[in-house]
Amino acid sequence: MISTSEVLSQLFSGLSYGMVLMLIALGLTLIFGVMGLINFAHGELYALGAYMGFVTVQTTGSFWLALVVAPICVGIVGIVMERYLLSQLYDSDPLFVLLLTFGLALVMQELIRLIWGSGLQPLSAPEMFGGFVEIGGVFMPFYWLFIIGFTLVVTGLVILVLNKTKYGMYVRAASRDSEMVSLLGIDNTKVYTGLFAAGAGLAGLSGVLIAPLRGVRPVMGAEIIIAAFVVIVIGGLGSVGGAILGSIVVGVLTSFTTLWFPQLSEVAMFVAMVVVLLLLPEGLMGEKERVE
Amino acid sequence: MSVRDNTLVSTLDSLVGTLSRPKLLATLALFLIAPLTPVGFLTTEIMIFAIAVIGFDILIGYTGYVSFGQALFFGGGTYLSAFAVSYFGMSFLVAIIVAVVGGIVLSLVIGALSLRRRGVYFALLTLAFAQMFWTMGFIWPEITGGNEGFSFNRPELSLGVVDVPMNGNVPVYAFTFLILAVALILAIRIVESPYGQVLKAIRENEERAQFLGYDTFKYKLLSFAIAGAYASLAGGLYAMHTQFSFLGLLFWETSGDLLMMVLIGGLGSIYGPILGVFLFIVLRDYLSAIIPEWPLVLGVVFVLIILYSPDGLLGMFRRGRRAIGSGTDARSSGPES
Repeated sequence: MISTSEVLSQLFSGLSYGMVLMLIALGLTLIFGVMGLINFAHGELYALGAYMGFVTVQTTGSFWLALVVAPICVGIVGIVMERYLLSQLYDSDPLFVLLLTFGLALVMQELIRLIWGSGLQPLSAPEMFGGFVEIGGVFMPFYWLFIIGFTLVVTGLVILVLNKTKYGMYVRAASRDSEMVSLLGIDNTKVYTGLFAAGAGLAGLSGVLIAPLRGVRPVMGAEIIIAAFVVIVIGGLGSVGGAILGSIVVGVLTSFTTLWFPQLSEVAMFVAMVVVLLLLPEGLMGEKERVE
Repeated sequence: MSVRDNTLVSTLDSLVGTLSRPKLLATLALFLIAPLTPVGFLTTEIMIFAIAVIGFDILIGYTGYVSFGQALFFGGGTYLSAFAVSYFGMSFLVAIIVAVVGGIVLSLVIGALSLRRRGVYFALLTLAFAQMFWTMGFIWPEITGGNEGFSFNRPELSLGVVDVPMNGNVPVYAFTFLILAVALILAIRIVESPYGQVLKAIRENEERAQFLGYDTFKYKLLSFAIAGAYASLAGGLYAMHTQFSFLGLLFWETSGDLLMMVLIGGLGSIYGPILGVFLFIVLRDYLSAIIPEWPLVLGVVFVLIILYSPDGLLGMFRRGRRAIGSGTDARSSGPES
């Protein structure tokens, strides 16, 4: 029989995975909302973040430093990508940007393989996260709780920046009508580059966070990107709330199907996506006019 | 390209017209000579993928809908014909027909769901649906063979009265060649038909096509199903050629390969994707042995093509020819860039 303790531990395991997905999906959906493009290489930015974290921990031994260094490095890669490659295609069909990022994903994955090899590299969280915490009579790995708490803070900060700062206002305005924003004298290219860098940084951060749980390997980016796509389709493309809701749904759903129907664990999120699409074509929190 | 007035010219006459195209004849001649060159019976594989990308081009290049889930129909065709042979003992031809019919049914369902969206949203949906079927394959590994796949023996080609044995490379090559020839002629007829003109209208401006009174959804769905039929036909042939099926064929990397073939060659031209397949498979087979970083090279080439020649190598050739000045070629410049 399935006990409450199993359900509880599966819930927290699912939440911690969902929260990591959330950071990836947030960047994806914000970039789509403002720039109308989907970044296929977003998963590779996450993988790159994990490797940057791996290198930082190897050289300095500090996981905390990795949580700072990796997002910054990946953010810079994001800036280079947006400024020198993607921006060349802004005048053409967004589909060509999607195809370009698909090619970049391939290139980045192969470069990672070339530099660090194909194998699985372990990255252990600092000792202070090694313990367990008792919740409702169940012992949870402290690291799960750390992930959940940490991502909640980061997500809160993102929402705060979006809603309370001038830059956030530009982003929100650009997601409504970017032409109007540039007519008002705001440099759209800076909004785009900043947003892309932030999205890349969030993906890099989530790569470091997941590394102690699942290790670091070249295919990790390709594996997560599909789940992140499913998340933003379920939530509604371009919607921040949708990305948050979608990632929690996918994380928890995957976790519980692993418990009850292990062979269906991979399929569950796709079934959820089909159901949502049939009932709510715009996604859980998507807006009709923004969908194109 | 000129639109033939099908109401006046008889179908037969226009068919002869299509058949006597120098490009078509040259392409077919190339595939006839290829087995005698160092390419050898790699030609069969090239022709199989050529069938898949010809149909794919009708969806991407002519209708303007980029699917990231074509692996579903290619791999689906492979599995359907492999199942037909190994579990139901069907013959070569019947197994291929099963693959095509199954592929059409599947593409109508997936198309109806994905075509509610356009652009990148559509691309994501097709990717997700294809991945869903890939993960479903792991629920029943004893049937699908999982990543390791399963093999079977190629059956005879039963033609009702006579049974043609399909042992060895030559019969499979010959059969694939015939199918490719028919598929190619049919594709040219489709894109030049009034239906094909509506597809191009959808590509250029879908709303305008709607205002002109076209039910664009039906046109798009048919285009999606044509691409699905071609892919599953190719998949079925691939199963018969390799006598093997594995889940990797349903994985998004297969979709990515097909997309790269179309775009490297040049979308919206039918012949461009064939060129893409030829280069892709020949270079992969010869270079991957010498250069272990082959996927990296491929990725870089693909990125450069997208950035600097969105209409692929064929578009590059066309522009080059025009630049040299021999350009009496007044053809419209293919796809949107």
